[in-house]
Amino acid sequence: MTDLRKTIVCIRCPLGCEIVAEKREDIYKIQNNKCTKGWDYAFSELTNPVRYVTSTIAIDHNSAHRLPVRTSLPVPKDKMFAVMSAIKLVEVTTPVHEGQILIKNVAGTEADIIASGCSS
Amino acid sequence: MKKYSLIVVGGGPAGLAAAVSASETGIDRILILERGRRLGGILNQCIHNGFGIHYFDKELTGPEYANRFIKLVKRRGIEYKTETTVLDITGNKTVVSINQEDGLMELQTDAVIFAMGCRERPRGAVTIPGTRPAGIITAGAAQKMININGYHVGERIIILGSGDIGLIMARRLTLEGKKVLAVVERMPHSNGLARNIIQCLEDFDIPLLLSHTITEIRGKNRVSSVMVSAVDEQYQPIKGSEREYECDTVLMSVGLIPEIELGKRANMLLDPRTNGPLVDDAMQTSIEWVFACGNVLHVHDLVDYVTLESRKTGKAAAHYILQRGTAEHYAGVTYAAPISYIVPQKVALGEGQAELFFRTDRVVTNAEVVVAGGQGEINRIKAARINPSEMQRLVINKEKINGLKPVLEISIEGVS
Ligand SMILES: Cc1cc2nc3c(=O)[nH]c(=O)nc-3n(C[C@H](O)[C@H](O)[C@H](O)COP(=O)(O)OP(=O)(O)OC[C@H]3O[C@@H](n4cnc5c(N)ncnc54)[C@H](O)[C@@H]3O)c2cc1C
Ligand code: SF4
Repeated sequence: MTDLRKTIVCIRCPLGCEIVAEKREDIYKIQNNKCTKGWDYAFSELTNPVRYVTSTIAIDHNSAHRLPVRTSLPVPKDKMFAVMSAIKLVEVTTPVHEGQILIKNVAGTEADIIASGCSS
Repeated sequence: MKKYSLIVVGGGPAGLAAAVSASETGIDRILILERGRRLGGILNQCIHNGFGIHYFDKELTGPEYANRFIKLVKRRGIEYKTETTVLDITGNKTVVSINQEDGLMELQTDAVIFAMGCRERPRGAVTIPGTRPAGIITAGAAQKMININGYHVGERIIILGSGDIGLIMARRLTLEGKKVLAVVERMPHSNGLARNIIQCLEDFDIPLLLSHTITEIRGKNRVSSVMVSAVDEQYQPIKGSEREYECDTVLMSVGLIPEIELGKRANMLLDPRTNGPLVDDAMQTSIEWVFACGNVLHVHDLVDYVTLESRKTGKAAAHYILQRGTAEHYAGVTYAAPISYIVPQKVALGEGQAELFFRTDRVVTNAEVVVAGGQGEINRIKAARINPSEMQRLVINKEKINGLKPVLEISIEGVS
């Protein structure tokens, strides 16, 4: 694996520490974080940054009637567009309830696409 | 005439939380009046996650956050009417509203809570030379068009202003396969939360041009390009720094202002700094039976604080209705730059704690927030960093405010 060095602005609290995170061979070095939350954040940003994806889908074949949806878990950052492509292919029919699973294991991420609102 | 104990104007997170908390405090006849098709307010169009991190310790989307309170409202049997617009409040504690079903309604009440939220500054507020083609919209309007109505707004987009809504829309449009060329911000710092700068711009390599502005919009029927210039310290465009960006859409994310027309019509006293009502720490306005909370009072960045503030307001309104001791003596709250405003503007003297919210007009590092009350210093709080985009909260022990002329002075020392 290649070596990495990144400055990561921590977003876990308003202080916004500029954390320097490094990976050399198999050793991680994380500095300038003022607390352990920052360490965890920098580590995940360096090794496997993840994000929730949210979007909307059409209800009852009506593209002007939208249902908000999201991933059940944060997905790897580089899978966000693949997840969006999968979302674009689905539609639902009423009734839909909040939390209903619409796509299982979306784009192989282990996250599901779930309804984040209801159809009424 | 129908009689209520409490009428809440606006069914967004502020109105919902205030109604629930008034109900919990023992008020029965509560009515929420909401102009929109459903309860939830602006949260219905905020489909992104990031709501409730403080209040629920969870990352919810806007609709999910709203639904939690809508459920509480329904469970407590609180009455509400949607698609109903409040037109006026009058001196004899009457609320005038209108909807399709009931027509014009005059409702009698003991108290009112204003929770009308805010609206976007229209483009007119920022004067940009050039033509006025189609393709210029506010970021919030674009958000509604895309997330609620399923429309497209454009293919190549430039965003003016780095407020959170603009940042959120930069990500939304990019994920929809559109090209966001840049976010242009006049100030040397962003107005958006750090989290949004990272997750909405940096994740997608969208440039944030600080100390830049749009100096011209070009295009006949539709926007065809904009000119972007760097600005100097007086925010004046620097000659020779112009660059043209070809685009078909300009999103404006240049700030929000409280939707306080109803208060203005009723001659309510407003704070020129917040553009919202002047209130005490019970969120009581200059009209004794009217309280205010949420974005109509001052623009919040986090809905969690809207909920906390509104719960307090609902309780205070309930106490007013139940005639449990009204305050008689107040300390005015004073402050100076870099503090740009403080809410509430006055604090009732007595027991307990007062909660104050403030913002600064610049980034402040390694400073101290000093609280003084009548007879000297009460408190001194270290502030490692204060961002203008983040509202700050102060809790003050009211018993310490005393003296012949009680005031509450808030200042920031050691600003570099
Ligand atoms: C686009 C956007 C994105 C945001 N993103 C985040 C985020 O990521 N995380 C976060 O924590 N916070 C976020 N916020 C902030 C948070 O959502 C708001 O602070 C919160 O919704 C404000 O609640 P409110 O009830 O005061 O106003 P609103 O939600 O605006 O509700 C006001 C309601 O009053 C109604 N109303 C107004 N006038 C009348 C009238 N005359 N008669 C009847 N009804 C009336 C309106 O229709 C509306 O439904 C965002 C805000 C916006 C605008
Ligand atoms: S490292 Fe800790 S103190 Fe620094 S920004 Fe992150 S959470 Fe805050």
